[in-house]
This record gives sequence, C-alpha cells and structure tokens, in this order.
Amino acid sequence: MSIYRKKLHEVLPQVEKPARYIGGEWNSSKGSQSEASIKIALAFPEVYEVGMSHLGLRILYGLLNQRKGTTAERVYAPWPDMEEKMRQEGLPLFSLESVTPIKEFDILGFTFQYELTYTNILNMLNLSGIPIKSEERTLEHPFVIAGGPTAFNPEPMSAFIDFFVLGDGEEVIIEVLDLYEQWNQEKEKSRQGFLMKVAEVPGIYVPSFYKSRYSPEGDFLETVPLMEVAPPIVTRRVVQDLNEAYFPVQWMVPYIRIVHDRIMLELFRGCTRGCRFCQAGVLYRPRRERTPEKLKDLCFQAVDHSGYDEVSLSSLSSSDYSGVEHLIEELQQQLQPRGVKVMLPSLRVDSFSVRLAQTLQEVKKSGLTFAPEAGTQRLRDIINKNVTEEDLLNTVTEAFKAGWNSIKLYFMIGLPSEKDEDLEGIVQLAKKVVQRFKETVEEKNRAGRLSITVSTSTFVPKPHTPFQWEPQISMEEVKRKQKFLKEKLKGRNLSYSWHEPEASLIEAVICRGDRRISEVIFKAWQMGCKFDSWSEKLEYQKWMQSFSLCGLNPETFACRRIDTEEALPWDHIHTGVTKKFLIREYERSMEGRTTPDCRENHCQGCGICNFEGLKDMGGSAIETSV
Amino acid sequence: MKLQFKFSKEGSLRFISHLDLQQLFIRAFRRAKLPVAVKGGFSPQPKMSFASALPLGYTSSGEYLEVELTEDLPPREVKERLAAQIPEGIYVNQVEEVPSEKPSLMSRLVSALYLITFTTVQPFDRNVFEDAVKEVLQNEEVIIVRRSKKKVKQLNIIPYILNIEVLPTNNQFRGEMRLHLKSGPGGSVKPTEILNLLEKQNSMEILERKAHREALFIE
Repeated sequence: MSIYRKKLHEVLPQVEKPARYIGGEWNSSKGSQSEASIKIALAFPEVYEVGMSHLGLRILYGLLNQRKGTTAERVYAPWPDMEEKMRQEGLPLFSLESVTPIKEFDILGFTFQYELTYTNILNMLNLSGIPIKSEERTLEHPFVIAGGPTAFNPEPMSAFIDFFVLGDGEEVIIEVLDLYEQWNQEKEKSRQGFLMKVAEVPGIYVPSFYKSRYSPEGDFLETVPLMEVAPPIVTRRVVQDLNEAYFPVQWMVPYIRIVHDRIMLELFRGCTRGCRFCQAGVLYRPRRERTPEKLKDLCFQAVDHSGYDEVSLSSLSSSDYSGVEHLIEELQQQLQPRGVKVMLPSLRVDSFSVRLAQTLQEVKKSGLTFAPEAGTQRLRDIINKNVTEEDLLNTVTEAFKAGWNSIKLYFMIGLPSEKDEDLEGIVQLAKKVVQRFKETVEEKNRAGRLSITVSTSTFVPKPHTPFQWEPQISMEEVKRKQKFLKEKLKGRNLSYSWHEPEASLIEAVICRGDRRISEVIFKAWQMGCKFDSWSEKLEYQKWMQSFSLCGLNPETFACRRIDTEEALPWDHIHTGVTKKFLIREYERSMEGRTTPDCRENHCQGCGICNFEGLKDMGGSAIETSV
Repeated sequence: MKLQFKFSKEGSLRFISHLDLQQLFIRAFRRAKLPVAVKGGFSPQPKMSFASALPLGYTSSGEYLEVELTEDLPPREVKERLAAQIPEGIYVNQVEEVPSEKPSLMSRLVSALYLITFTTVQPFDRNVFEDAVKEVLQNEEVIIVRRSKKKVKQLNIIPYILNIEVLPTNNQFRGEMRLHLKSGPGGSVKPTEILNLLEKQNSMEILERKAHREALFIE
C-alpha cells in the first residue's frame, strides 16, 4: 500500500461521508501503473456529489481513458472537514483512482461551471502543493488547464490557468495530448515551449501570451497578443456531429447518492430559442441533435452497463428535441418492462410538455416546474422569452386536469428595464394560476393541497449575451424587490423563495471582470473563502475586503451600463456568434421586439453556421442535408 | 425462488453505509440481469433483505442477504453472474436456495462475532486490560449513552454481551479482542461502543481502531 493510501485510510474514519474519497466506482478506471503514459487529472471544483453529477467531465474521462497511453483520473474538492484532516496529516490532494498526488500528474484540467467555485480551484491547487499562480510553476508541476462555460471570460482566472480550452472539448483535448507527447520527447523541454505549441491550436487561449491595457482612469482598453503564435482572436471549437462524438455508455455508478443520481442522456447540444439573458443559448450553438437510433442505442447500453433505473433526457430544453414524443415512446417500450424510468428535467411552457410529463409519470405526481422568467408581456418580449400569459395558464390548466397540484414558477428579478409593475405581474400571474386551479379542479376531485411556489433569481449580465452591456441592479434594489414579492406572495397556496443577493453580485463582478479580478480572487481565497456557492459558507465581507485591498469597486464591474462602443475584457474570445448580432439583439430588445427561433423561421444571422461544415442539425436539418 | 447469499465486505468499501450497500446490490443484480421480485405498487421495492446492517467503517467476512427471484435459476449460475457485476471489495462466497416460507434472516439472527484491533499511545498491558473487561462483565448493569441528532438514549449493555476475549498480540502498542454479542430484533450494542467505554474507564488513549465482523449466527 502506498504511503498516501495508508494515510488516506487513517483519515477516512474521521470524516463525514468517507465514500466521497474512496474511488473504485463501477465503471471507473483503475488508473494506470505504467510510467510511460500521460497522466491527466480531471478536476471538478465542488464536492463529490456535485462533481460526479456532471456529464461533461464524464465524457472527457471516458474519452481520455480510451486513448492509448493515457490515464485520466478524477479529483473533487474535499469538504472542509476532510481538508482539515489532510492538512493535519500532510496528505496532499490525490486522485480517486490510484491515490496519486495531483502534483505528479502531467496535466490538471478544471471544469469551469460557475464563478463561485473559483476559490475552490485555488484551494485545490494549494492542497496539491502546486503554485497557485501560473508564473511560479516549473517543469515539475502539471500544466493547469480549464474549460467550460465560464471560461468564455477567462480573464478573472488568467493568473492561475496555464491555458484554456474553449468550446466542445472532445477534439481539442486529443490534439493537446498529441502535442504533449511530441513535446515530452524533446531533449530540452521548457513550459514555454509546450505553451507555444498549444497556442497555435484553434480554441486554445494561453493567457500569459497576452497583455491587457487600461486607461489612466482604470478603464479596460484591450487585450493584445505578445507573441506571434498567439492569435488576436481565439475562436470556440465545435463538434459538428454528435452522432460521431463519444458518449460514456460505460456509465460510472457512485457508491453514495449524488445530486443527479441517474443516467444523463444528452439528446442534443445547443438551443436556438434566443432568450437574451441566456449564456448557454449562445455558447452551445448551433443546435446539434443525435438521431433517435443513436440515442436508443446509447441509452440501452448505458442502462445495461450501469444498472441504473432512471434515465434523464438532458439538454438545454429537452422537449425541443425533434420527435421527442416518439423517442420517449420507443425508450419506454423497452425500459418500462425493466422497471427503468425516463425523466424530463426541464419543461417548456406549453401543453405538449405537460402531455410528455404525463406519459413519463403515470403514477407519482411530483411537482412541475415552468420558467416564464418575467411577470409581464412587455418584459418577456424584452428578454425574448416567447411565452404568453395565455400559454402559461393553458399549460397549468392541462397540468391541473392531469392531476398535478404542485407547481413551481421561475422568474428573474432585476432584468433590464424592470419596473414594479413587472414584479406586480409576477404576483398577478401566480394568483391567476391559483385561480385557474379553483376553476379547473372541482373540490371533490382535489387530492392534496395546491402549492404554487414562485422562485426568483437575480439577473446577472453574462458575457457573450445580448444583455452583456446591461447593469445588474444594486444589492439594495435586489433586497427591496425581494421584500416586495415576499409581502405580496402570501396566502394559503402561495410561497416564495429567492437567491441570496450577495452571491449574485460576486457572480456578476467575476463574470464581467478583467485580469485585475485574479488578485481579488486570490486575496479572497487567502482570507479563507471557499465553497462560495454554498450560501452558508459564502463570506461576503471577506470578498468586499478583498476588493478594497485591490483598490477595485465591485459595482463598477457589476452594476454599470457598458456602452456598446466600449472594449470588453472578453472581446478576444469569439463564440462564433457575432458581436454585431448581439448588438442587434440588444437594440431590438430595447424596442420590445422579439426574434423568432431560427429553426421554425428563417436564419436570424447570429453567425454561428457557415452552412457547410457547421449548421443547425435537427431532425429536419438532417433530411435536407446531403 | 428465495436465495440466501453469504458475502464479505472489505477494503475501502467499509466506508459505504448500509443504505448504499443495498443500492449497490440492487444495481449489481440489475446489471447481471437477475430478475429480482418486487413488492409494492406505487414505488416498487425489490424483495431483498439483509440479516443485519453493518456499521459504517466495519469490514466483515460473514454477511447475509436474501433475495427473491421471479425465475428459478441454479444458485451456482446466480453466484457467477452476480460476481461478474459486483465491485471489488464485496465478495459473494455462498449462494443457496432457502424455502420461501422460512422467516426472514433478520428475525432469525441471534448473535454476532467481532474482532476489534486497536493501537494505543501508551504501551498496552494485556493483563490490566483483561481485568478491566472482567470487572465490567461482573456488573449487572453498565449504562452507555447514545446521542443522535434529536435524542439522548441510555442503554444497559450487559444483557447483550455473551463473551469478550482479550487476545495476545505481538506488538506492545496493539490490542485485540474478540466479542461475541447478542444481535437481532431485540437490539444490539456495537463493539466499538464497548471499546470506547473501556478506553474511558482505563484512561487509555486509542489511536486507531479497526472493527471486523467475523460471523453472524442465524437460527
């Protein structure tokens, strides 16, 4: 037994949920003992139960372990009780598969899903004994890389990450490993040498090869390459045909309950509905569907390999899959007799979706969730959420008729141009839903009490969206709006839940931040910030202190309206959707004009498709393509 | 048909709870395509039950599980198919058919045998420790306190102890004892609870403790 495994086994009896750290899950890799292979550690900067629930990392894990001469192992953020023991016992951060110190890996890859996990990344580097800042690393340290949605503004983390991989990782990561093997055989290796090689790969951004400039007043001016190999604009990578892409049918099965404790079948990537606040709607374009035949095959294999009894059809808006009804029918035909349930995680606001939910949930009627996002038609037009009040009321009527009596409604507060009338609209909408229930379901047929929950999150202006220039409302304003709703959403059947405004502010600052935010994150971590996404663990005052130590005002980043002429810290990162399109969408929104979904109408010119290699790929698109 | 499985739980898998172990078996049976019978209409539960829940952190070489299958299959085949689908750390050692009218394993459980190994800060004197054990056993009542999140419970452990044997070791900082404890529907005491009590009474300082269940005795 290695010294680390021995130490680990001494520590485990003393921590909460020790199975978080034992690895060995069904279908997990054994980890390689061979010295020759490239070792890559895949890190999710959250606790095991959250990290294991992420599809993207499962894809990369399976894909990399398939590659000859490559070993991929996993690591998650140890919960604070475990961290304390590890520090006490001198146990460095280790991989789950072989209890190898993370420091001994060749590459350490983090997935960036949420800005409030950034301090965990710094903490994990520190627990590994890897210098937190890229510039301090030497040949004995792994290359620290990152990808994922929040990497599309890489600047706030640019001091800590050696290079970013932007877009679908399936192809790029293999190219990176090929280059690593080449570089590794060189006689006189240098970190710089490898970075020079990868900088030329499309989709890769090496932050140390760029420099940001600011005006004397401290305004961001531009980010420019310092080297010839570094492209002025880095463009996102896209896998065109998901049917050809790897899917982890050897589905890993954890020993303990995780957040999404089921198979996640990815029907498609991308969504073209065009909600103007939505970052995923831009980052994953174009829409690329897997064929029903492919999906059935992947699904049945994953069920066989895992022994799971639940499959979730997961995509950005799963009921948008062409022929989703037919697919569900065919999946159920095979799975129902085996006692395997099919689930739909998100529902569109229409009666079609209610019918789908009904076929999936024959008996047990848990709650349904819909997201009208805004309380009035005016505001819904501004955000391009093409849902009317009539749509919502008809949808809930269907749901009530079908026997549901628990419904959750998601809204955002602080959306551009929002007034108190729009909040009042949320209240009225919720009350109309209650009224609809009373009109639809006769008293004698009511099984259990009606429960309508309104849940709000605070609007965060996200890079690469038409609303990236908009301000976030101040914390005082968030609190006032929440109070407004709290007071009005009272009653026997109504309840209200909300997001902590502090977390939304920090999220907004980081996501719109430039390179100077790196130091803020670094200081916040030094003061002890970690697991910031857990509301009971978020230490807002420390964050504020860190901003002031860096001489930065968080509100300048989060709560300011940016002129569309101004340079943005993420202008050198190109998602494929043009800035021209974003500006046009922004302008249309201010005129209250909506933009239709390109798959039902003609192309709206977002710029992602080149109509040759890259295009919208749904059921209909496949038929027309040759 | 009803089948009885004898299995061991070793290595890292001692860190998974009883509930997680149930889930592990359910999924392994499903992967092995062994048709487990279910009960209940709205949310069907597999007909699968254990003789006794093994505490988190304990290893064991004598656990029992019984499962009802909807199809008659040779126990040998069941054993092989299951073994191919069960993670390292769980070893199914025996599978045999039992009459379906036989009462549940849990109701037939009588006692359990444990081996407890521990290391101490001060040199460990076996004789002193043995005397301490004898002293405890002479009492008619020895109360331990159990604290859960909600309540505090007192329990007299004496009626549960059948025998405690202090074993010789070849290391002066290591102690070992074998405990034979009553188990089953009437409740039980954990061997580590007894060790904690002895630790406190003898003002010993124990560094590491390992608990292993050697056997379950079933009527």
